[in-house]
Amino acid sequence: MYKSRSRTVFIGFLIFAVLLLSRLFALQCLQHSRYQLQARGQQQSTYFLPPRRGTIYDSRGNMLAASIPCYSLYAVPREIPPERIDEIADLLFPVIDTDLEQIRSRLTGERWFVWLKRQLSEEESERIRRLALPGIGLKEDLKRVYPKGNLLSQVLGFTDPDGNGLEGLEWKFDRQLRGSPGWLLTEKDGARREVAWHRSHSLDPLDGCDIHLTVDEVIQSFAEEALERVYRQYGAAWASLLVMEPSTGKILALANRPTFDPNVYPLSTAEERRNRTITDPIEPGSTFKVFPAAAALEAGLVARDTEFYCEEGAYWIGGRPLRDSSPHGILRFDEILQKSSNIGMAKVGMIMGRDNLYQSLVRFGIGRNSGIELPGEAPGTLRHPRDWSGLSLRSITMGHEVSMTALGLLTAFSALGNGGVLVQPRIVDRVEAPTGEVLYRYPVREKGRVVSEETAREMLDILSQVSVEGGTGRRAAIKGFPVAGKTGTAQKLSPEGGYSHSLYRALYMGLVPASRPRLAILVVVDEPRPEYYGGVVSAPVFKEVGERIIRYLDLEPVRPGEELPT
Amino acid sequence: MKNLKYLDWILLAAVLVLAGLGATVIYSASYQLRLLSGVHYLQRQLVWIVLGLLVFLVLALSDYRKLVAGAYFLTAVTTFLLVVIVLLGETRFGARRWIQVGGFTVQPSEFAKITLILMLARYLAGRFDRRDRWSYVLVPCLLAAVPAVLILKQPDLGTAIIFLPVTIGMIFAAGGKGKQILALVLIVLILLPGFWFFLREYQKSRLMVFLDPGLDPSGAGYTIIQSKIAIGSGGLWGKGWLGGTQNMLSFLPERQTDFVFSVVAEEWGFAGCLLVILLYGVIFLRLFTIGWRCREMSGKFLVVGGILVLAAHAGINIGMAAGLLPATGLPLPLISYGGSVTVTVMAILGLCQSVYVHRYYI
Repeated sequence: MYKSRSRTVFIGFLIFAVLLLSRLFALQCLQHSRYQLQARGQQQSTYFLPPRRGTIYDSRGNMLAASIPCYSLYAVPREIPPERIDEIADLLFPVIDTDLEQIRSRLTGERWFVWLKRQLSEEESERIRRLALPGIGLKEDLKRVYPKGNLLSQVLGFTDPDGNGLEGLEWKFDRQLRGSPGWLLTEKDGARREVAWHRSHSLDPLDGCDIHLTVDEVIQSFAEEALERVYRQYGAAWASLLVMEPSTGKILALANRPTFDPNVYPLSTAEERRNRTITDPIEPGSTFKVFPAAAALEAGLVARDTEFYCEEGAYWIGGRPLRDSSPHGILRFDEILQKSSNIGMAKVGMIMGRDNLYQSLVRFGIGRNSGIELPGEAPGTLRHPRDWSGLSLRSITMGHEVSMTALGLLTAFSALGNGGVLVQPRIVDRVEAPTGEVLYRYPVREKGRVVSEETAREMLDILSQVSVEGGTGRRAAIKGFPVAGKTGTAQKLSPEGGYSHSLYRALYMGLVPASRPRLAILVVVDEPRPEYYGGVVSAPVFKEVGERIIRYLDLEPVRPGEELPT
Repeated sequence: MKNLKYLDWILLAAVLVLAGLGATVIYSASYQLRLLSGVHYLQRQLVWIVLGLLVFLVLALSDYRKLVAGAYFLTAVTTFLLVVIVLLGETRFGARRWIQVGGFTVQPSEFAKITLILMLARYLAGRFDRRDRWSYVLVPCLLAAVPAVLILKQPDLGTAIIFLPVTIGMIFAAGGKGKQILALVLIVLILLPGFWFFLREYQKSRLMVFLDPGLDPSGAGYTIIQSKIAIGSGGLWGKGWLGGTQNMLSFLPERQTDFVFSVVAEEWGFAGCLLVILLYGVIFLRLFTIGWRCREMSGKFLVVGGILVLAAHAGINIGMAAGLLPATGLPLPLISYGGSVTVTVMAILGLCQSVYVHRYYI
């Protein structure tokens, strides 16, 4: 009796032992990783040591964007005695610009951490420090500042308070600028105290790389000032000014209106932040005529003195009249550009033929991205001849039915100023490590020859007639420095379809000096009023900016004796 | 002394290995506490083990039948002590379980476990020929209920709970009628829900969080969750002695006493758990053998009582650490830190050894 009964008990023990062991096996072997994760999760805490974000410099080493140390204000609500919340909120109120109610609610509760205000000014943090409130603290932080305010703002972009690049170069080069954070791993005990003696590891942060731009802050400020004036004077919808060096593709200035101050980017609108110079394809209008013209010369289909009958201002083809702004009889090829005759250009295009014209335009890079190191570049459009209508050929020769960004337009035009070789535009010159070592230098990147050197020279010679008396661009003329340029007055596409007869876009692009261009400048003013001709609105801006740059760079005059007044 | 050669040396060896293992774990489990309070837990535990071994030897070499004969008297003494405690015991951690004897505090509830098995062995052996009667099942229950209720008053739910399987198990092994025992178990199961209303708030919440530890993860469920994390994160081979992070970083409460098994599991892994359970297996196998080889009823019943006390502790303790049973606060025999429990366990083992030593007696 006893033996069998106690055996039963023993067997019961065995069963229970197996049960226990299988439970332990399940916890320790099958679910091991889950519990290990839980253990680590509650035992370790990692603090990130933020790196200093790289600085953005102009071509002469002036700071355009930099991170400076500052303090941010936070609260540990569970350490604030509830009876003092009202008092503390009142004391903080002058520093934090939100309403009292919101401050109070942030201070209340059981949370361990809540930001009250990021990146305080020097005096604000000093004030907080003197108050010495319980549960209120200052944490070292980095503030991104743009010392030049709205200068080059759309290109630079901005970061959020945590230092993440959101737009512009700050976004595009975020990885290079950001650096990599260091960390400090510590262990906490069951009472959430840090256990310093146990095991701590740390890794120093790696500061971000610096970026050096091709933009010259002084030239940029010339551009900003001139553009601001024309934008205000003509009540324009927007405006853009771009300065490039034709031989290298370096962008020396890039300005947009409307604009914004990245230091206070939350106050800006998306319209103001838009870098239209590279994101908005526009119909270039008459400025575009230089490309079919250069192609026709290159192909040997026309010569400088080839004469065209310009139909006395109205030319009926395809059942519609093509008009010139003023009627012309017989014009030479160079006069067609000088007077910007639509009829003359249409005839040049017809001589070339669709495919020939299309191929040459493709060589100029039209309808493709230029490859600039900025986010959001739009390629514009150049349709294939099989998609062209009967009117497309003549439209394209005068810069309609084709679109390109201001950058694309000036890049293509600069090829004529570079002996016929297309060069990729660039705005970033080099990336440097915090140690000063150059990590990457953006090279001059040639994208192929578009026309021969002679054709290029001939085109510049022809275009320099545009800015003399009798040319549409005479207001762009700079004393002592012949300008090879082209005006454009593009009718804007109206919202109802077709071209508007009241909304225009005034353009001027030019190379100076014409004999050996050092500068390529494009001015776009959208919907100027009451004047709207490119030669009237935009050409003077070209002249103003060009003169100031020439003086600043101290360029030698081409025609001696005709020095610029200083 | 001539009786020394009759000792069960395998049993003694297994006990010593387990106690040594326990001391090693206690060193690790109390490492942080020692730094904080300066109390040297290992030293104290070694003193308890030595003291326990003395008690073990004295009991092993003395005739257990004399103790069985005096069982009712001994029970009366412990019952008196339990009454004294309920009336004027020292309160620690919200419970009155201790009385001061010289420089030490003593837990009479621990000794009540010994007198319980002595008393039941005596009763059951004496009435063995009348084992078909209802009284053979009911009287032991009533005898056990007196100290159990007093211990529950302290309140010490864990120890009181032990009385239940020990009593029923002993009646079963002693040949109580199967149907009657079944009826008894059924009555207990029916009464159990009513028992709920006698529980204190903290005991209720412990039972509630056992059902769902997520109910109060930083409060009552905390211990269970931390224990499971400790066991689970230990893995197959453990994190090494003094290397358990749950232990060393003080996430695990009561880690040198009730949750010592979690430290074993964390630092020595599944392998260590298996070793501990295997050592218990050796001990129980030896104890059962002692019972089987004893030719006298009270000895047999005493051994099975001892087995039940030890197994109930070990089983409930490990089951609770692994989250299989609600946390009731029972030590793990031979491994948990504690004077009373160590000496009690050694005493029970000593009684069983005495049965072995005197196995040739009729």
